[in-house]
Amino acid sequence: MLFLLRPIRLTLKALITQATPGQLALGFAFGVLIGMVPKGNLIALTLGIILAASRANLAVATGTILVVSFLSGYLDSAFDYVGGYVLSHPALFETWTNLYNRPLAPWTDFNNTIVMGSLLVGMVCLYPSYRLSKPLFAAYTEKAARYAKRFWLTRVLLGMEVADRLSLSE
Amino acid sequence: MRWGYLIPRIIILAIVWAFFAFGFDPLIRRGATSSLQSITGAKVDIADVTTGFFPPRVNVDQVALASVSKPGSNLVEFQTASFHLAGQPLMHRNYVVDEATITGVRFQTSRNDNGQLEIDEDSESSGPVVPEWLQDKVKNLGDEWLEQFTDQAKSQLDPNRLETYQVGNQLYVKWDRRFEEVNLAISTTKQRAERLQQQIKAAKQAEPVQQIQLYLQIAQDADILLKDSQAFVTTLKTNVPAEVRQDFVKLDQAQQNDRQMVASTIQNLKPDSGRITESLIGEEMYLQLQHLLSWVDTIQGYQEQLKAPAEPERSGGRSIEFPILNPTPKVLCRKLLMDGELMLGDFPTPFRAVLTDVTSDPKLHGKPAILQVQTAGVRPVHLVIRHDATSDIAVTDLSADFVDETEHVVAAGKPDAEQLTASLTNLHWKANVTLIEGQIDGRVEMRSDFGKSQFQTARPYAVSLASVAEQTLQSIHTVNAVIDLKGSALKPDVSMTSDLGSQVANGFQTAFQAQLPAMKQQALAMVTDYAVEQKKELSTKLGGRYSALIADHQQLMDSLNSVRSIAANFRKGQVDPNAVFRTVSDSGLLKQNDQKKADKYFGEASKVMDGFKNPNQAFENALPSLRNRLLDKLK
Repeated sequence: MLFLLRPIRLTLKALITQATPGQLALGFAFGVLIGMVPKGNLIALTLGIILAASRANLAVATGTILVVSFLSGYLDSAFDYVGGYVLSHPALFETWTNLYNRPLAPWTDFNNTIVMGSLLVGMVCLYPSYRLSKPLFAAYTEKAARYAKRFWLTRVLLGMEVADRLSLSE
Repeated sequence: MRWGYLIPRIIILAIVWAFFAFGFDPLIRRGATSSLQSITGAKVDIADVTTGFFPPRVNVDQVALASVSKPGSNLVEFQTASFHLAGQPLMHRNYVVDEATITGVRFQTSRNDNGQLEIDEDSESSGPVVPEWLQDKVKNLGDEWLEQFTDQAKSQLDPNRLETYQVGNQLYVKWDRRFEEVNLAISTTKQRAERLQQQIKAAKQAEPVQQIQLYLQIAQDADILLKDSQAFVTTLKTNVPAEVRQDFVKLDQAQQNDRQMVASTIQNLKPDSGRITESLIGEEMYLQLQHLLSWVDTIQGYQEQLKAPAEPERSGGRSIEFPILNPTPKVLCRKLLMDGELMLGDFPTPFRAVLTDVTSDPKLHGKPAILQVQTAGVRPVHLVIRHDATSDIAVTDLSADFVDETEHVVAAGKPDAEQLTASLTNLHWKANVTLIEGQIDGRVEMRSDFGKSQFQTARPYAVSLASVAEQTLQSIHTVNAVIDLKGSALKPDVSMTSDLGSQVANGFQTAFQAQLPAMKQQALAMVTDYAVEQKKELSTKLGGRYSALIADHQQLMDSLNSVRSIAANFRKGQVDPNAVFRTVSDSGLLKQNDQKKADKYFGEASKVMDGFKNPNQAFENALPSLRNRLLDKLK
């Protein structure tokens, strides 16, 4: 039984526990950005790769992506306005044209007003999300860990090492 | 710390790899199935989809597209399809298939299930969709020409169409009416004569004075009636024979006309070659035309589907198209090779096809799409469809060359009446059709060997004709037919011409020519006999009735003569005048003066009359007055 649970335990441990407030905040910030951008294009895929390559906390990032993706549909009109403005700006026309003629660029869907708008808004929100969420993660991570430790399932899945680590962090 | 970083990334990589290794192809398969089902409206089975990225390629195995119109069968199925995509255009999100191969293509194969997405109980198994205009064409193919033709032959011997018969009938009707009128006139005169006889009888029993009045009146009426009757009989005896002679002249003229008409009609008798062509080979030709047009529909339909825009991921938003330096169509199949079997008639026939330059943007591509199909076997077909949408007006050219060596039996007419059957072998079809914006213009040509012609008839009068016609039809060895198409592609004006019709018509005419002397002789003899019979019948009928009329009239004259004799007797005085005067005087009908005069004269007359009876006494009675008169004279 322990043999079966060990890989799951190690995975969850890697995903959740080994994180600093900075990594958690970074995960949150990436989650906001990726969550805003429509999926199914190369931009979203690239952002995912960057997220995976970074030291950001993936669990927080994944959760944030899910929540923001759900909410971003309500912001489409704003993204459309921003994207439309940027894409149709005469000064940027040549830039976009050059970019559009690059290999793989059409797969990014950057010429779509919502994709471009959400990307810009997401990038604008990236740093504020990081800065604002970092103190919050610093303040509430320990409390959340203590709360999670009470659950039998958490203890079983994450193992006592997690509990010990959480205890040490206290 | 290092493992804490690596493990999640490795897991993500593993997931991505697993997705592409195990999830991507099934996802593509599912997407393709769903897309194809939405296009065909029936089940689509795809056994396996394999993708490769370096170089980009897609392989599809065991694909079956169910038929929505024929439950339980596949529209098409193929064993493998392999698409090699060009890498560079793919980087720019353009799907350019450099070469595709589809093998083991088969049409109309059976399935284990009904293949329907939703069971529709109302759906019925049906054959290929035949457009309404073509259904009308096939429906109107006239077999009746054959029946009409033999009927024409029969009509030559039909007395109803002879002028002699018609004139004879008219004369019958006319003289019937005339005799009825004469009968009515005689009957009226008879009645008048009878009334006079009754008046005579009544007058005999009347008072003498009244008798005078009656007899005078009767005598006057009898004279008038006699004059009328004499005038009538004079007219009858003078006019009727003359008019009958005129009518017989008319009958002779009608007979002459009939003789001429019979000779010329039989000589000109020839069936309609157009109708013969349509009834014999029309269906075959029109169905081949429909097959050709269905190919055009297919290629045009694919073109429209390629142009259909993809569904956007999220509603809203606009994709701004920036200029492309080296533009390429979004979808382009440079070359698609196909092989398999298709059904030609009821025979599975191996085929090879090449489809080139099918694209979503023909103007950009600048080349027309071309489909070339080549079949093997006993029915080799070479079909080329060229769809050129490179300009604003799309032009579709269809060219087909089709050889069918199997024997086709064609028939016109009905087995229980007249039927002409023949066989067509080595059919060689050639078609050239152009479609421009819903307008069609083209020609389908057919050349074939013609043989085994048989003409059967159940009508005795046409048996000898059928025999001769069959002999002449056996001289026809080849058939050429052409269908010309023009107008709207939905309902084109179709005209079919063929030398078959004229050849068959000539055959029938020759048969008639061969039969002509006998038929002519028969018809002319019939006309002569008929005319003689008409005249004889008319003479008998008229003569009999005429004699009866004269007899009737004689009887009338006799009765009138009796009346007349009575009146004559009266004039001769063979009645008692004394009684007559007395009766008149006593009747009180005379005026006072007249009465006095009458009394006076009656008295004198009585005296005279008495003197005749007893002269001595009368003399004695008259003496005083005579003496006075003498004395007066002496003085």
